[in-house]
Amino acid sequence: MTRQPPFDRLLSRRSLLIGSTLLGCSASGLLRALAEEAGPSGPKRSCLILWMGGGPSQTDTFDMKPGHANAGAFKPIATSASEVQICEHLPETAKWMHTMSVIRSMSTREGDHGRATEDLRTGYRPQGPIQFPVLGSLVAHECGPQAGELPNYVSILSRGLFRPGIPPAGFLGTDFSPLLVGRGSESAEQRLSVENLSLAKGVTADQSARRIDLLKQMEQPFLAARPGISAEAHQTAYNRGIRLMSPSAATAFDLDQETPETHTRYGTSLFSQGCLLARRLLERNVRFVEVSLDGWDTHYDNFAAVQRLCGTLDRPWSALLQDLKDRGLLESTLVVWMGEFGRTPVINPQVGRDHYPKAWSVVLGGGGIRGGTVVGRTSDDGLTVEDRPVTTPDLLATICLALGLDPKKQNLSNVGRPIRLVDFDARPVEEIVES
Amino acid sequence: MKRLLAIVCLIAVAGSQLCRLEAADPEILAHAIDSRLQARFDAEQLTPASRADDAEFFRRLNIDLVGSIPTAVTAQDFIRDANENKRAIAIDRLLESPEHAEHFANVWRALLLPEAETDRQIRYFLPGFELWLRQRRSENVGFDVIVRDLLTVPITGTEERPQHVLTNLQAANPIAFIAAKEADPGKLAATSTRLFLGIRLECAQCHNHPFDQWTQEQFWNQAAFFAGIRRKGRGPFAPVFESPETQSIALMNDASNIVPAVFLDGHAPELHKHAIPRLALAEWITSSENPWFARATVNRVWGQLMGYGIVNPVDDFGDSNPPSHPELLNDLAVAFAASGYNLTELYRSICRTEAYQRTSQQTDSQESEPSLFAKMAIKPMSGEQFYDSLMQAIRHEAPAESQKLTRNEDPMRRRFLDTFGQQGDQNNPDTSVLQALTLMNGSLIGEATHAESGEFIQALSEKPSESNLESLYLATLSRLPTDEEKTNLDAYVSKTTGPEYGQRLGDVLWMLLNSAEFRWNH
Repeated sequence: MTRQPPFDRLLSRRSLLIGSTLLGCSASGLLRALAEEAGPSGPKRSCLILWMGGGPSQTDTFDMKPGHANAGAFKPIATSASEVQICEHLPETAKWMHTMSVIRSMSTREGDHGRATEDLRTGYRPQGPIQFPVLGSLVAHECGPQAGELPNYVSILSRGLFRPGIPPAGFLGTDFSPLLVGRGSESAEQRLSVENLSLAKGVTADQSARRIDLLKQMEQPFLAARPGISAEAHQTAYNRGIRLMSPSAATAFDLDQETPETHTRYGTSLFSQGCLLARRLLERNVRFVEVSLDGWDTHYDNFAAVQRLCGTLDRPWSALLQDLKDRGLLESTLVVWMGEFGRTPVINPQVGRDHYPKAWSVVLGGGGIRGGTVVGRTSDDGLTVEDRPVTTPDLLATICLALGLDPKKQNLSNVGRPIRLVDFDARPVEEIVES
Repeated sequence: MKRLLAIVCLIAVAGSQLCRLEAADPEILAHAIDSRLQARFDAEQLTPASRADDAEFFRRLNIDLVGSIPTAVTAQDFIRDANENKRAIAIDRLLESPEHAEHFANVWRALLLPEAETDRQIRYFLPGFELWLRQRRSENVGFDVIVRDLLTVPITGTEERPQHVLTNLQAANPIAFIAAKEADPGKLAATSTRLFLGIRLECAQCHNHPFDQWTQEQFWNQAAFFAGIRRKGRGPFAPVFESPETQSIALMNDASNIVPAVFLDGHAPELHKHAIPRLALAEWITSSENPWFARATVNRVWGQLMGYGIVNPVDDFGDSNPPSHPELLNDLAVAFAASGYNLTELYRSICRTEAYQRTSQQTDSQESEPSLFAKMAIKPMSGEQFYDSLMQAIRHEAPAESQKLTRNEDPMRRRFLDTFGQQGDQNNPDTSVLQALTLMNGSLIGEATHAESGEFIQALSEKPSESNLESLYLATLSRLPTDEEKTNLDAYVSKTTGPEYGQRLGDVLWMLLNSAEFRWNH
């Protein structure tokens, strides 16, 4: 096991990144040489996904229909972008709309939670035996093998989001599967943490190292006689776990390192902690982080639920954007707010809204995005997309472009056929991408 | 050529016997299976992996049939047993044990009520639901009976007085199936079709199936069989009722398009005004005329035992995903239907095959293609299988009878299952980083491998002896250490004394419990 001093590495990679944005193309020859030396070029930006599990109501958040019978109880408010109004229950987020673009014309094809989640998270609708990797794994794969102690892909509070029976990284293999943090069942008083990161009671560092050496030596014959994905996955998981156990990696996940003032700014909910942890990881150059906020499946009492959820969402989201900006990381971090579908503009008899993939909203912001803009338009009743429909592949290709990845790049799948990062018929929303 | 002729004759003989199969000799079906596989090996000029040794076979058989590794004592007894017929005897004994019914209940509970993994409320239903599955399996009723019981579970409530779904937590009852699917006709139809017919229809909910023959209308035709079921209120505990006169349903995204109940083969049932349509569906699914039911079930059981379906994924039958061995699938389905959908017969026949009894060691790279069944697959253990095996190894003895039936309510086990239950693909066991951290640093293994808190280690360290290593290997890997392993570990352990000796033994136990060999069913 090689142990690199993590902060040296972080600093060097970070300064390289800053260098590349400052110097632009003038030193491109030198930078390219450096990149080639470092292996795959990888994404230009990091990515943060705020995943709204259950499917958030667009009509009550980012595509309001004031004056129409479908509008519901909430009022729109002005934002830092003159063209954009959003829900009154997102007042802090409203101050950042000049950095974000709202796609109001999402039009997708899956209305079942499981299938839609797979569609939006992989870019492909479930089909037969092909195990499509989720976007985070695709990005982690583009980053190449994990170089340091921290994984390239960390998924926070997202258990249950992954497809049962299919590994998140699909055909890319478990090297690129996310580190999952948080069960979602923690109480808000508990600190979000990586479980079992420290040694068991009574075990010293020496003993642990001895045990690990013994394990690697003794299980070798068994693994060698059974080559394949399983053996690789087993070794990878242990190696990644062992790297995470180093004190400096453990520090990255330790929210107690933050001041009480910072905790207050983010709030105390699990989602708040998740956003704070996301910031700590993005600072340390983790390339893909996602934080889940569940509960948007509002078939009943939609308005009470959406108001409460907006309250949970608003403060940590804006605190995170502020922190990224203060640290000079907002330009190098794409921030995406999305769920698996939207909700019916028509309010049902239970004062709820049901699944609606036909016309809904996603918000992109931060690095790589032309802020203060709106893409597409829905009809006055919100039922149909009237301008610039955006499909799942369109959205994922847009994300790839904003990250500096080529959506047409191909990976070899588990059925032996090459699969593009994003389906070939994708038409990215290039008008909002700033490379 | 001679050999090929012999095989053809064998298949012909086996086939003719299968047709009039009543209480068939499992050996005949086992042989027919191996012949079908052999034909393919011959065509591919491939030599399959050799027969697994007794220890490898016995550990696998226990995990597959009773959901846990054997105790050290039973493993050792089996290895020592000189009876030629001991494998067949072990198969029969395990199939008749109460643990087999419990394991069966775990497996089918996970398939029928996956909602319980994420929805804590639904876990209240598990004791009664698992008891129902366990009872039906220990009675060895046909699988068709189990499916009919499930789909025709009585709903006696009315709109004014709806029926409570959870009255007695401990009473055997399949109604959890209705409650967990939120009494939703679409969910009930999609789940039944996928699990019992091997057809994934849910993608036709909103539009015609993208790659297969199924239309959106056919999805809702299936849902119409459950259209009369309603629930009053929300959440899994909401009471339910059923209006049998509701025999049609509107498409989700087109309320004006109302479709009747029609079977997937295109026939419509004759329903009287007060006939409950789902009863007709249950009859049709489990009828001997149904072209999918027996095939889907044998394929699923084959997948569970062999690690890979003849159609794979096991619930994705369709033109775009053909079976690897169509004749084999057919043989199994014919035999299964002829036996009255007897699961014991099916397990017994498959476990007796050479295919099931091959080693998982790869001797030739050609064997790596899983659809050839040329070596035993590395199978993932479910959370339950792994936890129960782990406890078995740590405790070093069988659990008390009273502990077994309440295992799923044990909070520690539950917590463990949250980390180990969900992840992992059916074909490739996948150790996640969190699982590795739990096994390396978690309190369960931490305490068991500690010289002062681990009872097993304490007991062994009182009597330093060479046989201690054998005890550790038998308790965890269900085999004896090889000479090389003995030499290596003797060097690691033997020079120490006193507390240091206990600590070193603890290290060896830690290493064994963290090894891939322990983690997988191989």
